[in-house]
Amino acid sequence: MSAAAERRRHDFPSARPTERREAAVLDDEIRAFIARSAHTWSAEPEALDRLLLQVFAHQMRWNPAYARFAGRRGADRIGKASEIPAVPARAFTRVRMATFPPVAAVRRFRSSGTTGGPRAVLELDAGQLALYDTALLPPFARFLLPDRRDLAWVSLLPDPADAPWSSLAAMIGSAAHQLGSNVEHCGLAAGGLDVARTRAVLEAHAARATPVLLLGTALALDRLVSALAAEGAALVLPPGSRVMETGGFKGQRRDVERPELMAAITSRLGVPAVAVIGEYGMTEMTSQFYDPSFRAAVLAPPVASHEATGHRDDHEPRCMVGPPWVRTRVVDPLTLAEVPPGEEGLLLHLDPAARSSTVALLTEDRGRMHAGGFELLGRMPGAEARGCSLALDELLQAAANDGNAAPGDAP
Amino acid sequence: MTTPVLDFLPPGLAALGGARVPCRWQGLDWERVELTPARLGSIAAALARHGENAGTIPTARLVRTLDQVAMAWQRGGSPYRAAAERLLPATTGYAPGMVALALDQLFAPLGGHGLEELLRSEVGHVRSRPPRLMAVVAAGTVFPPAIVAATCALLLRAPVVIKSSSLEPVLAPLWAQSLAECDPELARLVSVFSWPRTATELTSTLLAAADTVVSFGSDTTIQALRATLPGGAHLVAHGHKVSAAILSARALAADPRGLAHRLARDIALYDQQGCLSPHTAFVVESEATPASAFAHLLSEELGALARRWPRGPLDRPFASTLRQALAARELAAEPPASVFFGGFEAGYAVILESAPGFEHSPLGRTVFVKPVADMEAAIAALAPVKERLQAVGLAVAHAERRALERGLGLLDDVETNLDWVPRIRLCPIGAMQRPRLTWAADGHRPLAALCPERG
Repeated sequence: MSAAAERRRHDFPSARPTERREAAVLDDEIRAFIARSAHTWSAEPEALDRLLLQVFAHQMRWNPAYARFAGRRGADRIGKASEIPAVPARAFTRVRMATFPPVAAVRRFRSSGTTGGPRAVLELDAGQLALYDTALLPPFARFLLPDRRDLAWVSLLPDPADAPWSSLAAMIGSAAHQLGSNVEHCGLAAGGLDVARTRAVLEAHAARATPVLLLGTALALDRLVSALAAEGAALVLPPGSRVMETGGFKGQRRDVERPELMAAITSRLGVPAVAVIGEYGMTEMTSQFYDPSFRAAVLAPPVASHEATGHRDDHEPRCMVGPPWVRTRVVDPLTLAEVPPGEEGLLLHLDPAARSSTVALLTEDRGRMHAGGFELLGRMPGAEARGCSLALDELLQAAANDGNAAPGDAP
Repeated sequence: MTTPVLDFLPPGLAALGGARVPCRWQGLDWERVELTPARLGSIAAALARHGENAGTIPTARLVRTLDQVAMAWQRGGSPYRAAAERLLPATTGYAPGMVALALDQLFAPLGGHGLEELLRSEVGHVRSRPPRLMAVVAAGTVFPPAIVAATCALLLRAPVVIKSSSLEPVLAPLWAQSLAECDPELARLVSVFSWPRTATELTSTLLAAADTVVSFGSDTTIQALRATLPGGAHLVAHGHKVSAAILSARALAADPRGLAHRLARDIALYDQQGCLSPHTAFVVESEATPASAFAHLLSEELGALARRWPRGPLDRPFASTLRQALAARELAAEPPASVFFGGFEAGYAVILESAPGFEHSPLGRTVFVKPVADMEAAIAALAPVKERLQAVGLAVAHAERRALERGLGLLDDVETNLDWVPRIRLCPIGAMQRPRLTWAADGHRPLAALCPERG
């Protein structure tokens, strides 16, 4: 065993009854808070602050790396949740962010690695996995299923049993399990999509007039509609069908342009744009965010005819909202100070449900805060070289771009 | 000085550039010519004609003039130097003290002694005619390479158009003005412009007019340029590279503080944005010279420099990237085997890590310190990146330096290749950012590379 591994073993002795007991008590509190705030879809700010600080204190006690990190940032003087030192998401590619010993891990989620860098890993113990299940359902049901639950679920991701590393597959599987729905999985465990099967499944539901809940990444959806377009084919999914779209628009070259994708989904699948519901989540996070406009449209149908057909006002920013137990701040990357509403910054999420990893997560995603939620502006672009030193990110970008020269990069 | 300008047209060609127009850039007022592809083409043609008549300029006069220019830039009282010291901190973000030192280090080797040494070293290697028109396509804020390349063109009596970096368009026009003041006839061989990368028609015009192009930039930029270059044109490309340092136990035992001080300067100069800026320092450990002690000293020295020469403003994408990268390393550090010093707010970072291998720095004055058992281990660590390696700063004995040369294959063809140059620059720590004028960056001899055999 290496010296580092030996130290880790020392840091995380396999039997830590105190940590286990403390985590169990905390999990109960977090679950109760989620239940209360999901019921009213609101959270009392002071109570949320207290819970966040409680979770932070637990993480300080049981994650030595985080304790050192936060200690250097005045952890002992922190009185408000907004002062909790946020862990940058990239840390998950390099260090095990967990309060529990490795032997207690029951699940490991891994990011897709689409940005060319190392993959982020999130370990969950049994209690954290249960929290994950608890936290995912209320927003999922609220924003995807505000009106009805009799939908046929079709997932463009693999079966979670075949892709245990995928947090997205796990989320879909867990939501289906908790709501008693069956899912037809059309994603391939090795990556990619079984387009023929997807098409057959969707055609069958269309023939039976069963509305569909189609769940997939922007890339998978693009692959599906592109395949249909290549054949000049179009399906008309039954009224009430909807699409959950996630994981696109990250500022990477291979990403899908959202307006084009929306138009293609409408024309190839017969689902209006308003019923394409954006979801935003991260491997490193526990809770998820959704575009609330579908719910708003379904529960309070607008009178204007163009809105009834699902056309969105182009001037209205598309916002994401999280569950009431998550607090999102938009911060300046230079100072980490909160920027005024409407100004661009980095998204920083405070989520008590992330009990075993980090309660405060600094992302590389840009956003703007509005009254109705935060506007997601995509991944912060890579820094432009200001000299002739080869930067690490340039190497990673080159790997991600598969060596294709960008026409816009001419001097 | 009047309003600073972003370009230079030699005496007699001013009319070809059209009227000067005011512009606002980096919060300052400037003037620039309204360049069009047609005007640039005319200017390039006129410069080429000037070059045809330059063959009679005696070498002694070339050296004398360029020496005078270099000396003027190193003396107090030069209005050009004063303007550069005033403007460069605003445009590059580099601290004023750093700019002053960088200007000294740029112009010191461009004096008569350095020029003569360069000419002597290239005797027998320049076997073809000089460029009819040379283009220098600069990039980024690290300003010396464009001035050095243009100086080399003038030593060959070749006319040169400098396309300044849009991030640093200040120094080249000032240098050209100072040249024109010393020797208006020699200045007839120089023009300087800057335009945004989106002005592709101007870039195409320049590339079509030049028969030798010296370009600096990323692999992507170089690839794009190569694809645009007309057939027959010769490209001398300087891509993005990395550098490292190796310190022996004996050297560290003798002068640990001095080495930390000098290495810190090598790292901090140009805010670590240069290809000569070290990313990883390998420390050959002994009981008396643990890598951790050196990392601590280096942190103190970088901390002192961060106060004396504060790191320049970061743009938001770089701030986000650097913050993420540093915090990930800080969280991964497990003292005492791996220790993190400094941080984003401190303006520098030293990361002591025992994992073997060269580490690419996220920049922003971030350096890895790696303990190694011996010189062989340091060589093994550098071998995988030797194609990307620009320089290695050394504090080692002569025998260890020879071992490094052999280990990196630098001597492989020294006996068979008449034009042999070391592909990787080996130099003392503290001199990493002060290459001699004879340095063959990227394996290109400074003068011979500009004069290829043309079919």
